[in-house]
Amino acid sequence: MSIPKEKTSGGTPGVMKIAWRNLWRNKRRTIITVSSIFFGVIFSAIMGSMQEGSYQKMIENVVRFYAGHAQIQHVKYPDQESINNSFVPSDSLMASLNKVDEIEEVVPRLESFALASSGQKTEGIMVMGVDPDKEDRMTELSTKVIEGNYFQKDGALVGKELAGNLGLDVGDTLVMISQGYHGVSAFGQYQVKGIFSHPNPELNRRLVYMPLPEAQYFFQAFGNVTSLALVGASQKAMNKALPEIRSMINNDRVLRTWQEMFPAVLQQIESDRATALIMKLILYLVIGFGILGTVVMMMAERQHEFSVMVAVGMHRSKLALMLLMEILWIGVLGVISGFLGTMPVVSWFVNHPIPITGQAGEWMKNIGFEPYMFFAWDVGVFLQQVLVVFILTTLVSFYPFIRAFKISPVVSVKN
Amino acid sequence: MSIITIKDLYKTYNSSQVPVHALNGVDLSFEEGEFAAIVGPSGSGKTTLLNIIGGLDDPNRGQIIIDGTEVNKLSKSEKIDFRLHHIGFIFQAYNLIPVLTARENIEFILELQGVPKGKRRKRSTELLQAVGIPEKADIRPRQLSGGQQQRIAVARALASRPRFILADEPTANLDSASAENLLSIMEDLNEKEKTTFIFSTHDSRVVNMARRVVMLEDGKIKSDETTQQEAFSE
Repeated sequence: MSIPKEKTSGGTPGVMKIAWRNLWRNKRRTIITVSSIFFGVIFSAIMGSMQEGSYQKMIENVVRFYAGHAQIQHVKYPDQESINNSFVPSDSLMASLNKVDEIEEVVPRLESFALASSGQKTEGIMVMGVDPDKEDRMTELSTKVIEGNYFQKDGALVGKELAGNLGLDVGDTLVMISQGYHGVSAFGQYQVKGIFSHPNPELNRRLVYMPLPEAQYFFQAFGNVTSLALVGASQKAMNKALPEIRSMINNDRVLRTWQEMFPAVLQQIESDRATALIMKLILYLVIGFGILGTVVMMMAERQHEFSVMVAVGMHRSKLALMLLMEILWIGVLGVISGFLGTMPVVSWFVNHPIPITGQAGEWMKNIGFEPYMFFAWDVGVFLQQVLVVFILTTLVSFYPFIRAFKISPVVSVKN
Repeated sequence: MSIITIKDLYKTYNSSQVPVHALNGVDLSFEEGEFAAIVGPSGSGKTTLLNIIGGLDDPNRGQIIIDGTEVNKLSKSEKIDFRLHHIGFIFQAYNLIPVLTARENIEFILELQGVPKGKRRKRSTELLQAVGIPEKADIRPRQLSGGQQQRIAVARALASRPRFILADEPTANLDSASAENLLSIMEDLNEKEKTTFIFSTHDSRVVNMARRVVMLEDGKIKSDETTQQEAFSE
């Protein structure tokens, strides 16, 4: 008679239970280990939320103050930003764009350069012809007017520093000369309707806004625009709409996202993210060694117990699973408690950004940023913690996993 | 009918500078339902023999045949399955799992076997009754006395109705009363459940109760006697 070789199939729920209970055999040690993850998650998640808040603000500055989420331009415009590479947006294109649900605003602009004079003073300037209502909805330009009024059909808005350099006040006349569309001479004089103060000092020094028809007339580019800025409900919404928009434009036009127009912003964000990632990795490396220390001690203390389990019929793979679960439990507890600790802090700072005062605040204003430390709710930040802790615990698990397969049941008999 | 047949068994440990011949050509067999004790001085090879019978250790030479299966030819994983389904272990130091209650310790083996919860519960209740401490079902080992822990260990060993039980010095850590009580429980279970018990022991109480006594010396069988309970005295 031969003994049938039954296969074991049960035991996993029991293994989970044992793993959970084992955690609390040495409460102090477990709490210390969980705390190390807790503080790591808190530090990392708050830092990440702050970073993402800054990036979102930076992107918002680019998108909301100037570029939009994307722009439609003449195909040659990206290589040569000249008024000669402007185009007349067809009615059908405008109608099609207005039908795209994801697009909140289509903002036409005509941009070129000119010489501006007032009295004996002359400055090189950038002229931007805009639709006053649409531009205001997109960039809130009217809120930046600090003297005079926002324009409607005629006149010009002049940057604060430019007005100072040319000695212009509201109601004065600004004389402009330039080369218009395809080389025609452009000349005009415009009443200063208002003076604006933009967060970006370069725009304050160089920019003059005009109503689009006035600018088109000045440059003799009737009906032309250099760009159609597209503002979506969100970046995600715009990303979704991009293929549809691409299908609407002909070969003479090009659709460029803000990332394509301002690669430096994106690069700066990416490089900042990489630096922060290195810091977080160092932090988690330290935490990882802490967990490993706990696991090494745990294994050494319970060597005999593991031998007994194998002796009475527990497969080493199941033993390894039990140890893996113990470590995962530690990770799960650390992450959950870390999230619970982080959420109120991030929630508070999302609604109450930290003001930056003194020279740092002034410096931020000068480079065009609001002097606040912004925070953001970003699911990615939290998912990153889950992923990092999961990877960490998985790596740490290798040690008990390998040791579990070397457990000898012989040790169990004599103790 | 032989349940265990041991043929020409040799085991040498080479861990120290001088090789230690723990088993030196052992031939032995056990019948179903036996209540046998392996005795001998320290270093005589009792524990080594028990380890090899239980598939915990491998011999250098020889065969262990249990119900037609040559245990020493099984892979590591097959040996674990074999132990789980056919052998019960009772250890000197009880070796209960500290985070499980008495009942859970008994059910642990059954759970590893994949026995459904209802059946596990029924069997553990039955065994808790049999070892005389049903009221300790939900108590963890550290709250039990040594004797109570060893009773739970006996119940755990019997949980899956194994063909035989290997008990290594099961009474060594117990006081006299607890030891006698435990032995009488085991004897009772041996009779009721027809489980074969093989003890490795120094304890005269165990030997006195055993119906067969195998004496080992220097890794060889010095004597093998079927005895009456009062036949042995140290």
